[in-house]
Amino acid sequence: MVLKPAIHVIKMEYDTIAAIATPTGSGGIGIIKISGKDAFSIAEKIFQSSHASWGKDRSDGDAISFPLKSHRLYHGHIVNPETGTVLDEVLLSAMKARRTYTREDVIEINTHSGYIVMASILDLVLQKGARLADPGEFTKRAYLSGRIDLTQAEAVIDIINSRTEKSLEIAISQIKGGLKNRIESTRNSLIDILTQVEAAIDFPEDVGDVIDVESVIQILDKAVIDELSGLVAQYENTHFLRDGLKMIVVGRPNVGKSSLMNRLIQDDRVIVTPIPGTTRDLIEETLNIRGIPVILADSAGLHETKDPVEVIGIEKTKEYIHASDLILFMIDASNPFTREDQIIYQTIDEKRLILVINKIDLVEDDFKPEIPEAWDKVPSIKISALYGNGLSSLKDLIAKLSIGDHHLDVQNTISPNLRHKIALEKSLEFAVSAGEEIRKGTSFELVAIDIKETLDSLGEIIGAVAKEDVIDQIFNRFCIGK
Amino acid sequence: MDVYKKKYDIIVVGAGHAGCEAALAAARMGCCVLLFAIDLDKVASMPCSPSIGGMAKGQLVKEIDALGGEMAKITDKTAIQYRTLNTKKGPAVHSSRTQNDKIRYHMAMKAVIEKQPNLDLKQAMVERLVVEDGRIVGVEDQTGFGYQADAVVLATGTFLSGLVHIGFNSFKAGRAGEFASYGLPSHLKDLGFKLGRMKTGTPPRLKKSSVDFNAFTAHGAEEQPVPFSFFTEKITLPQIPSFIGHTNKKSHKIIQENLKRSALYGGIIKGISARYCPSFEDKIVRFPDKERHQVILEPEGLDTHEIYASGLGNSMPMEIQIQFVRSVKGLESAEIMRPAYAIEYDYVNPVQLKPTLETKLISGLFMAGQINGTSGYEEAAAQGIWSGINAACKVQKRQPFILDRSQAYMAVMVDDLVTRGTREPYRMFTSRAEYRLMLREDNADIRLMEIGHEIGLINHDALMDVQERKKQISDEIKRIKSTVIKPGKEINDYLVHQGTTPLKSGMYLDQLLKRAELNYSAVDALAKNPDNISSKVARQVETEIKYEGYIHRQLKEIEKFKNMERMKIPDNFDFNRVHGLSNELKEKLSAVMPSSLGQASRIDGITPAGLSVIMVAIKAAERQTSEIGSRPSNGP
Repeated sequence: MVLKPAIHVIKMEYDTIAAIATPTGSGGIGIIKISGKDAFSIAEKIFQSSHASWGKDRSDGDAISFPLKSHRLYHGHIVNPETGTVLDEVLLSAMKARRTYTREDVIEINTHSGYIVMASILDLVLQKGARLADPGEFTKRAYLSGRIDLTQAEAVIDIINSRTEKSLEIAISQIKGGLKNRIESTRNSLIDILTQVEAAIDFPEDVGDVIDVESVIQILDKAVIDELSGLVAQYENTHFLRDGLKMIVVGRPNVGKSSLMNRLIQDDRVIVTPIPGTTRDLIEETLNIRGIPVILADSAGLHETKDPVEVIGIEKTKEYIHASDLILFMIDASNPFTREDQIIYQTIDEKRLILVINKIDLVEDDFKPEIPEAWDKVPSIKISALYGNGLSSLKDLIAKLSIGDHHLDVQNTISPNLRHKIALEKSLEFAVSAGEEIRKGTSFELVAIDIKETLDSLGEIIGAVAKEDVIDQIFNRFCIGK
Repeated sequence: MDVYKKKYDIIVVGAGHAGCEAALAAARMGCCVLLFAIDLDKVASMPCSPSIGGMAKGQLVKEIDALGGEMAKITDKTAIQYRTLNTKKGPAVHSSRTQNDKIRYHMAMKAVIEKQPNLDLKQAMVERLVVEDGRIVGVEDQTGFGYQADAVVLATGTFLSGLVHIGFNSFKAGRAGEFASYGLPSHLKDLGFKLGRMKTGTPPRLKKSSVDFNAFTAHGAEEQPVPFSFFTEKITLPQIPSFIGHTNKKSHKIIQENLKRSALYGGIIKGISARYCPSFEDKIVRFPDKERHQVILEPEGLDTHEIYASGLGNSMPMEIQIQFVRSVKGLESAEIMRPAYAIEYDYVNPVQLKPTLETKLISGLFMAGQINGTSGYEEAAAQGIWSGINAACKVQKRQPFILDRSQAYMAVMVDDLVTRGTREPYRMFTSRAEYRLMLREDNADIRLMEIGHEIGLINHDALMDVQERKKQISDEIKRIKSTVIKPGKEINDYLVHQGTTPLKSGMYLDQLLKRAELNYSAVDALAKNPDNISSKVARQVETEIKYEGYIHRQLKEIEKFKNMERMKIPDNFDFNRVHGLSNELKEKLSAVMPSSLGQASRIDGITPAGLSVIMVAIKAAERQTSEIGSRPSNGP
């Protein structure tokens, strides 16, 4: 059987591509670039112009009408249209073909945020119909559309090659060890199923024209669907190793949050990403704690207030809590436990927590805080942010909680990236569909389509093009021929 | 050299299944054609199984028919048993197969060729090609007599350096009992072609009256056979069964103990054999745990007593063959009329061909069939009609005839051959076709007949007929999709009776037709079409609607595929000058010379980055050409 050859990997000009166009990990600004015929419609789905929201305030309710005009710069927010969640405040430039780099419609989203926010915006753009751009693909399009001069052809090729090599290098390092093995063994299970299916189609008289449906379903459920679901979950569980562990310090005012933040920043800061003069209230810092990239955000507090500015800040904090991987919940050892602490705990009690008992320099050594029983199971640590006591243990605990839970070996961890995740989800979808069709008794040649698509999507991750695999397998396994 | 005065447009060398289709297609397109056979009594002979069609091969035969070829018609005239394979699965993988009277097949095809205007059939062995300035101008036979033509199709089967093996006895033969050609292959090498070696074989033929058929199960013919050809109205020959039996441990022991005496395992045979057509020695060595293998006794014809013992193919010496055959229950006193044998022959690696099957080396020289490394009558015939049409197009200065992988099985085969080459004998499988769902036996006429008419091989009536059918299909699909059935006692009783769930609210007919329990006639009964819908139309409507989701997915894939095919690579594009390609890829690309980016993407080892690089290089070459003499218009 022939799986789709490299043809499906090289993409066509008719589709719309997107990528983070700025190098990650440095600089205070990031650009997400979208190019192709759907660039504008995708942007229109996820961008809410500030101008538009004023329109709402002016009581007529409707957002100011899109479409975006060409060669204009817009201020506004990226909003997930399904959940209504605001991802970021951005500047968006809209450029219609052909006066653009690629000579296609181009949207550029300028953010001042860290990598995490950019990655989630990119994720949203991809959900709305764009495809993750291949390395050097914007430049390739620029060249193919005639935007770049003929004399630059070789330079373009070098860019494509070097970026491909670079990304290949990265990809290989990303998929070495666990992930690659697991994907290959999943592919082998699929090839095994396909071998039976295709043999029953092409050689009904040699191998019988039916297959053992029960055993195929079992392989599909256990070795494919469970495995792929596990890998997708793994992405969610381990994304912090690539994207950073999103961590926030919460607590009532004056509990010492800023002191702790300053301590951690002084010790472990990798990059500064100040947010100059924007309305954002949360300051993000990227730290390296015990080898784990940690994105630390300050919170505006979670106290009850009527002050409209503070209300906005608290809302922001809540959103951030929702998105974070680990929360440092801080209480004050020198002050009794308050109702305010209890309210904060209720806001965060479903997340992974560390109870940080601060200001132990002000109390006896054998101090025991009077906290509700329910909190006992929360891992806790005593520190003095002011003097630095207990900080090292806190860092150990952070590392243990983020990695220890997953029994991860940081060096050799199975950590799919966004590109992998997209392919994994796609293959999972096809595998599930194949399972449903087999159960329904659908004819094999149709089931085969779903199985091949599952294989193709997995092949995209490890770059495998399994051309004659199945035909070879059939001849190895079955005695074919008169 | 003496030269025959009559000048031909096209000479076809070899009158097997490929040669016959090539010669007929070219003659019917108005070319003056000469067809050579080494032995006129072997035209369109069936040296192996007396059978046409089978999985994927049936599709090829229907495609040949839809393009105006002859194979399906001759099959119907001479078939003595019809079967449809895979009826438990969907229509895309249904395939037809027949048993044929091989003498009648030969005679029927020879008669068609003899009656065909513009076509001369002659007996001679061609030894040399006459080439001038890289162009073919004629051929020379073994007596040194010359024939002139503007194009030549080589369809030489297993005859190039053919060597037959029975045990350690080897003798030069094109097939058992026929002359092999040793002059032509060495001449091809001199001309610069790269040749490889393959092996195939055939089982023994047994005398009917020496077989105890009580030990076998009759494998009956279908009672209502459906003709192969869209043009056949009636099946005339009586239908007779085959018989199925099995080998046993004793048979396996005989082969096992004498492996060293086999040509295949005794180190005599060097050619590469096909895994789907194993010699019995292979079955024993590769599947030692299997306790029995199937034996099918197939009649070779109505008048002859010869029986083709399918499954007993081997390359053992005679005395072992006799023991082996007689070890099978029911064959204890079988008389072998013709022994099984293996044959090795030369083939020309097909990457040396263009997608028209014309050689890259010599303009006007085409190749078809086993010479290209394929196996099977149907594969040969499909290449025959493909090369015959293209040779005629070349002579008549018409556009070449090239179908793509989304249009036909034969296109999948040709593309595989010229792009990837082959080391083992290439046979068609349905799994080779990415767009299998679209390439059905039942829609071959709809896919290809209009193209056949454009070429000039399908007449006006047939064209009108297929166009009318297409219209009826699309009208009926529209009707089905816009007709609502409302729930009611009578309706729901009927649905329950059909084994499906009753309606709660109104439902479109197409939704009902998508249910596994309902077919077209069951659904049509709910709201009859006042016009008479033929069974052919009904079948298409049912398939299109039942598999709509999957068909839609395949169409989207085809759209992507076609975009890549449309990106043409210029004829004399120099891959060696493409900056950024690895040397290995440069070499492969230069050997295949893909005509489109799509074809390039199917070459072994090509990477996405490699394709990007080629894409950029093509653009650069294009712009270089267009910028010469024209004002640079839209620089950055």
